[in-house]
Amino acid sequence: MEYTMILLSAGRGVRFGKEVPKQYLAIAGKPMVVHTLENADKIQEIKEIIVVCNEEYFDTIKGYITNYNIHKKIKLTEGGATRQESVYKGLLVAEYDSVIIHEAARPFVSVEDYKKLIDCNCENVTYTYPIPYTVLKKNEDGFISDILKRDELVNIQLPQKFVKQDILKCHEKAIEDQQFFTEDAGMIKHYLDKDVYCLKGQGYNIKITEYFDLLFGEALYREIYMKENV
Amino acid sequence: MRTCIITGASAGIGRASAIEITKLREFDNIVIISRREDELQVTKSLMGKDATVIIKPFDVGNVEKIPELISDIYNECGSIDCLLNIAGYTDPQFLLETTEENIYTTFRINVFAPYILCKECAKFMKLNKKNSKIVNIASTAGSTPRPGWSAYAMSKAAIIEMSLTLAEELAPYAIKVYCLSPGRCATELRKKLAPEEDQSKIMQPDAVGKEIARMASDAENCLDGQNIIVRQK
Repeated sequence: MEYTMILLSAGRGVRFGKEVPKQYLAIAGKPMVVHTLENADKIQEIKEIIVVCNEEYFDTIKGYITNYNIHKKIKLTEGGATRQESVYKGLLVAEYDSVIIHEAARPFVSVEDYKKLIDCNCENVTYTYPIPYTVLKKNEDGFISDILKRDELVNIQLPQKFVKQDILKCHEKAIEDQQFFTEDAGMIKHYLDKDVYCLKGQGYNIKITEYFDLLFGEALYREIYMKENV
Repeated sequence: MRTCIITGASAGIGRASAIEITKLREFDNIVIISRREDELQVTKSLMGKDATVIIKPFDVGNVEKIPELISDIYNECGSIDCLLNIAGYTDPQFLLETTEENIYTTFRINVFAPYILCKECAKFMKLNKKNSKIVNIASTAGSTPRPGWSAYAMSKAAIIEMSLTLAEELAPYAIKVYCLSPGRCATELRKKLAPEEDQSKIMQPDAVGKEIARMASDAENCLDGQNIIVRQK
């Protein structure tokens, strides 16, 4: 199977509170987005990577591709106003029938993690991770309104893989309905009622969202990658 | 096909390392680099027949030409697996006598060239399936003061810190970075630093060459990322 990888890198890092979007900040000396580009570069089944980013960062990404000797075919696409629109723009230029969707803010996905996703027999697959804490529902007035069963819930992790036509159809319907989703596996269930298989993810696959995640990420990287590969 | 690149291979520690590296039989190609082609021919003649020896007459002081040199070697050999940064320079001068040119030349050859060599080689080493290795030659002068040696000492101190940092940066690519600091050793460079010394009484280049080859060998796994001093007591 041949895949297009859509790498979401258009976030502005509003929650992060820095001028430079977080995906361009360094972890272990390397820009966050480069960690993903380097690992994806090693996956034979990924035939192209579409980096969805703001146009002002096109040259930055091109520089990374040269400096880090990335060989994969890379396409740069202008991001949208929302995450959903960015995914849609990536899908429109994807060449292959299967897509892997990933985000630059999750730099610690290993080559083995990508392979496991690719090797999974199901067509539509997402990584998930058990929720280790209790989640309650809050009403509009700020009071607890319901108790959610932790065992029935999962935390969605990227990357995910989908049949391109399935996920494209979902995005087109969502545009029509003016519906907004914060990730893509739920769209497949919502619009097509198709199964999305949950692969158990890894605790180290954290999303760098706040400044403290960056500090935590440095420690994770040192523990996992700097010891593992040598 | 595995390839090892050695700079400063026309004499001293570089030549000794080229001879010892060949004996490992771990590299199919050994690329020897120096300004002096005639001396590289001598080195080649001493290296035996266990590898293809490729002579590259090149002045590492031409830092801007290093990317082209390394790219050519990669295209010719198909991989870059080991880099031995051995070429060195010194012109010992007291602070009040020295010139800007001296400090620039010392840093160009002793620091900037090995740094860019590391960078250009790492681009290709990261594509390797097996461990790759970089051995940088510093000096005990990089961690112990001697009047009149400031430019050389500063440059070697830089190499020590460069090596320790790159050992961390490049570890995720399975590139091991070593730093070897020889003590006084009977080389042409040492003659400039200590012209009155009897070189027959101090450590010989082949002793250092053996240690460098040990670091370059697949069998070595524990000495990277630290300043290793090789000194005859």
